[in-house]
Amino acid sequence: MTQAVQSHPKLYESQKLARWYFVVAITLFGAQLIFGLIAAYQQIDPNFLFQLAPFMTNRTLHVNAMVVWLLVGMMGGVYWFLPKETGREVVGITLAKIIWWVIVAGVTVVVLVYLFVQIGPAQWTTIWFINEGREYIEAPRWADIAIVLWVAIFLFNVIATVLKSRRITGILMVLIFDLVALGALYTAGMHFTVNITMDQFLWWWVIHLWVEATWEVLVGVLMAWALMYLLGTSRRLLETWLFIEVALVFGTGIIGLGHHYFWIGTPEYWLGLGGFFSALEPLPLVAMVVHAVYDAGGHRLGAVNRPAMFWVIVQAFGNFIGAGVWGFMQTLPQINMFSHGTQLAAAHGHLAFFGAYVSTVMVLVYIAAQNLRRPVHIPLNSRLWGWAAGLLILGIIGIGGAFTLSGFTQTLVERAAGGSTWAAYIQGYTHPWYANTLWWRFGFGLVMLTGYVLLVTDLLSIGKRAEAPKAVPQTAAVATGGGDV
Amino acid sequence: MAKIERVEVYVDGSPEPLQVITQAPFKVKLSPSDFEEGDHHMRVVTYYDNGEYYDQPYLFTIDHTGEVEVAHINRAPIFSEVEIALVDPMEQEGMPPPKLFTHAVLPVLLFLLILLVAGWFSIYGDSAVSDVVTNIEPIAEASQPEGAMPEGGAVDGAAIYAENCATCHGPNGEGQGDVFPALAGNANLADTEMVIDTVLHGRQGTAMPPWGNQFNDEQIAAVINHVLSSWGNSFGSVTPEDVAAKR
Repeated sequence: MTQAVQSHPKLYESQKLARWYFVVAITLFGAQLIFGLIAAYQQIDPNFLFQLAPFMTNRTLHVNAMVVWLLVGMMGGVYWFLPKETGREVVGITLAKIIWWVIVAGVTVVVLVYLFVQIGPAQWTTIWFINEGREYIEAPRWADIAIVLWVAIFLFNVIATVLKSRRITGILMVLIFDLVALGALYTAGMHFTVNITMDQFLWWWVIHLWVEATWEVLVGVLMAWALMYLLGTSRRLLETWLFIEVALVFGTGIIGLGHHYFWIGTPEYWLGLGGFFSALEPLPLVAMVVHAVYDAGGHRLGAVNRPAMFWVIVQAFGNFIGAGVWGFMQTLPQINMFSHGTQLAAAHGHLAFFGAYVSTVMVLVYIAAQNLRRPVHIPLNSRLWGWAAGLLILGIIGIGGAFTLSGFTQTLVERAAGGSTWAAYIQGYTHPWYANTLWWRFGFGLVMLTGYVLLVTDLLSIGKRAEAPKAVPQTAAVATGGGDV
Repeated sequence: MAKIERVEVYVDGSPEPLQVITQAPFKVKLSPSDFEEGDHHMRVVTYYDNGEYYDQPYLFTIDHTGEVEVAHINRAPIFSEVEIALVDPMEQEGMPPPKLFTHAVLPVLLFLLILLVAGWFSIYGDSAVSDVVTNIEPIAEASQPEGAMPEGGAVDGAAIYAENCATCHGPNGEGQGDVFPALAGNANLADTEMVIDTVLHGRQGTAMPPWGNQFNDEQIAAVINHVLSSWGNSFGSVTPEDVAAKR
């Protein structure tokens, strides 16, 4: 077989910028893993870095780094595919480059403040410059405003490019309106009120509507582009499924938000509304799996980029299992009453973010890695990517499993049997099923870190050699193009 | 409305196009017998008359023992020619141009509207809860308590214990499991210096917080004496001066 090599496809400025978005994303991925590991070890030995880098600071950095790197990675994906979709350079690319530097500087400042200032007195200056204090979106107010501005410029890039384009496509239309929601909904996490119920009510708009709805739609857009590139899937098929997914995500997700409103002081009707609509929430995720399988199976093409195709499949199933199944496990009010606030939420968070978003960014990064190198290798392949992907996936399954078991222990011992008393709380936390899983988390975290090191090595080397390593022998089975599926 | 000018097809990295097609339907015929067994790569470059350019790679596999499988074509009989559509059908049919209002003005207006609502809420949202009974004071006016206990009068060690210590160490000093040590019958309490130190400064690496800033010497001494002499304990006593010396 030949390792065919493509000569010199044109590279747009916007695609060169996307490379730097991916560099930031992958760097912050590393930071996320390091802070996650420190936090995991502090669960085992609370004296570790005590008073230097408290658990809460490490957890904040772990979560915030993730939110930023996934967003940066997905935006990089849009900058990568937008010129390919519109057939022209992105309008306002200089502005996009400037804001990239602002973001890099901003992230650095926020991280340094988190690390060395950590907390401040209960004053407005703390909210503006140190830490807003809202779990998961701790970024100080000035950084919040910078994020909204950043998305606004991004929206301008997209709209201006589309206006100059010859045609509007369904994918572009979905992207435009999704970006409106992406930028605007983030503001909901910035309001300060003295009423904690109201505060939580709005906070969930960012956590649920922002991450679970607008990000999922953005992933739908990026996956459509990725499949078009990887398999040459027809646009009609992709757009049909994209519209179905968007309708389902918004149809179930907006009121499905109610599953966060069960026990925060909101009226009781949220129990019914939230329970019913959130039970429907896995539907769009099932649609996405069907979509991916349908597209892959309907063509019998060899994917032009093997690691990216692999991650597409991981995304389809990971999104369904992590976001859909693990989310559904704790979403009905009857179950949620006992599982609320346990480590089951952490299990869901880890599996869902990895399945839905990390794998999406991996697809994008590998597509970019293929096309940034000269000459371009088709199909892109290496020995290392499989090991990197395998270790990352093994790691996240181990971590998710450990969290699930400790969450189950809490639900059973601390909530259901112990009735949420102080004594039951202690019992839950000291129960062997809880205490031992702390080690599992750390151990599988190390597995993930190994996977990450391999991933970075692979990204730096894949497709660089003139003759890529020989792929698996082409047997008749592989020749159906289903080798990756 | 831009039109497709030409479509170039390159196979297996050759610098010369295999075929240049300038007319619809943009299709190319490939004969499996021209190719060796294995994976082959096809690159389709589409040029529009307004200068637009699209570059799409494909991978197809030639299998002389079975059948040939190529882009947009599922299966074909052995050795027969395969016709491949090079341009997506939707692209060929043409798609509508973007509309200024629907695809630019409307989303920008929506974005600004939401920002406006957010800004309004930031300023006035708080008034929506101002008439709700709440014990939380606005952040700016919140005042720090100056010490939990009123000045003057006899200090009640048992009361301080019940309010501050019993949650973890138990109302009768029984503790909870391995996490919160029992105080009743705890031989370590004989070391009163250690006890004062622990109460004043907390104990690193455990859940025991420092209490030195919240209580004065009399109060600390009272609560320690309560612990040292209750639930069957008899470990002596400490004075406020002992506490002061340890601060």
